[in-house]
Amino acid sequence: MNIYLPIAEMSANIFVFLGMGGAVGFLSGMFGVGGGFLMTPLLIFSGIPPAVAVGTEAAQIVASSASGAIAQYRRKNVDIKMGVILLVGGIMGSMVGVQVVKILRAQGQFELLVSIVYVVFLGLIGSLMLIESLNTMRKAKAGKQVSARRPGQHSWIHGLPYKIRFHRSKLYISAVPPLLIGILVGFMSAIMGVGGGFIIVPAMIYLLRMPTSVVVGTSLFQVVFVTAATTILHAITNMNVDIVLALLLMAGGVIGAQFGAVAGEKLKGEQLRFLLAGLVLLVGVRMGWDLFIPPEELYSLSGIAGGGH
Amino acid sequence: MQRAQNMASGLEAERRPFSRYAIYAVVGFVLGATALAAAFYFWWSQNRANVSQPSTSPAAVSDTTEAARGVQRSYVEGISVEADVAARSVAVTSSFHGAEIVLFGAIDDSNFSRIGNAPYDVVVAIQGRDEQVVLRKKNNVAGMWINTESASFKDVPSFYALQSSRPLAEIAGSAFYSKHNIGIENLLSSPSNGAGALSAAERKGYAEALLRLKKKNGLYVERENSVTFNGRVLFRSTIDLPPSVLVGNLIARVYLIRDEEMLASYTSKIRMERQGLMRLMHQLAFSHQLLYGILAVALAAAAGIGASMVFRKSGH
Repeated sequence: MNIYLPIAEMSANIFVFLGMGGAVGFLSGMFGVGGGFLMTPLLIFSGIPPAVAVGTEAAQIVASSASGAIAQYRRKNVDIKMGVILLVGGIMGSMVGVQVVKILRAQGQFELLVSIVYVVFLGLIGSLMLIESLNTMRKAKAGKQVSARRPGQHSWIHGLPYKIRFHRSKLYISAVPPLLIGILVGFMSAIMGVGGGFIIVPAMIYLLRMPTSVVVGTSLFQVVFVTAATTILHAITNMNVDIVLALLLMAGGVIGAQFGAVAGEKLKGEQLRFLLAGLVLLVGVRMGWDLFIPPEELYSLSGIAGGGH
Repeated sequence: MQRAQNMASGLEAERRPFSRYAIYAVVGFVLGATALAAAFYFWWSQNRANVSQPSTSPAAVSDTTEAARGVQRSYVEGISVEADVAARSVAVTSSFHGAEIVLFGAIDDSNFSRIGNAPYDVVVAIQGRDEQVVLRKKNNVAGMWINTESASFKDVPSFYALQSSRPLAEIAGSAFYSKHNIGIENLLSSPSNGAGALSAAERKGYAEALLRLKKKNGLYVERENSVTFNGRVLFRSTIDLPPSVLVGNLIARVYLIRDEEMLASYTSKIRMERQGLMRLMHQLAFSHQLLYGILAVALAAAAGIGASMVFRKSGH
């Protein structure tokens, strides 16, 4: 059964994209990640123009993270003050990112940027997770206590101005680092079609030293609003949000996530991280493949954006 | 665990999460409905503006008059060709996955000049609307394959199908086709790039790549022996329009050829446009971008919250 995608301007099999949404939803439910970093490459591999993949995926992440954000908010796991600062930065970063997409798309270099950024980030994060999960597994085997985070340590972050008291996070730190992290995440969200949880969660834990209890809720809060802003900005600037495609992915995604969450409960944290690291590296390698392997066809064809009516 | 908590704290716990979610759902629904209503209003007002202009007459009339269909004829004394397509318009709806254009026609030969002469040949060309395309060429830069060179072509037919009653080479020589602008090779302008002039070899490379890529995507098609005669005067030909074709009106041309001579030709337009929901969404996305963006977010939020409500209920 086929459906015509109005923005991608192609006829697509409904079940392919429902299945894709379901599979990524399953994985994101299992690992507790947003799944944008898997979905955007998959969309590109399946022939969706990279810019449309990025814009559409932003809309889908709004759907997949909205219910989680509300649940966390109800459990009072959101540091609203921190979230708002991250969000302000996020929207600023997203505005820049959307313009970058526009400029590079006109020059035919957007696909290159997406590939490089994905290869670098997925390679980096995948390797770090792999090492960390292997270390944890080895320590657990040796019977050692796995060390938790050490609060109260002072770092260069405490020397920065504009200090604000974050009651919920029990922190008194400068507003500059959260704002900068927000900008980075917003920028990544706009050019990669991701929520940015994979940047913001480690940043909150290791840089800002927020308590783990509020990290997930606050990051979800920021992800929902930043991807919502990114969706609207993409729609205005690049006209690359395909609602029909997004709805297909959402429908598959929400169902897949339910089953994934059940499957995830049966695995240990470090085992999950090990598997996720493998998956992340695999997608990174596949992204890099097209970049480094000599292509069969050196030429590519594109219509002038906005030339249609 | 959830059930135990609910039972312990009684009715209040049962009611509270539900009422919260009900509020979110209502807010999401209202947002979505407002955006949809606004979308329909814009669509309706735009349509009304179109209708009130005297220049665009209703579709029913424009489909039937020959002038509106862009019908043109040329012929020599006593011989002419008439043709038509089975469906004069192609609708791009949400279930669009390509279309089949059935073209049929008849040869009118009142002089009976076919007696003692070579047989007629019919060549049919279906051409999509022109677009400007950019061709990019990858080169190896520091181990990576990167688009480094580009050239643009103006007025490239987005689709071109050439079908004939016999192999084109048997019907006429290449000079004939280039004289009458038949065949995609004879329709392409030469490529240009902004900076410097392209060498002859580069131009050739880009032009060949354009034809190769378009043929690979099924957008440039050449099929011999695909115009079939039924008796001596009636002929028909079927053209497959792939789903990736650019939306826009098509032009159908029918040529009657004998002994390297163009006896008659017939031209008419085939309408192709988005309809229904596809039309609405395309108009919103490209003319009311902010509204479209808000609609996308509202739909996404409503879908996410709605799904979590459904699964929360069934999970108990």
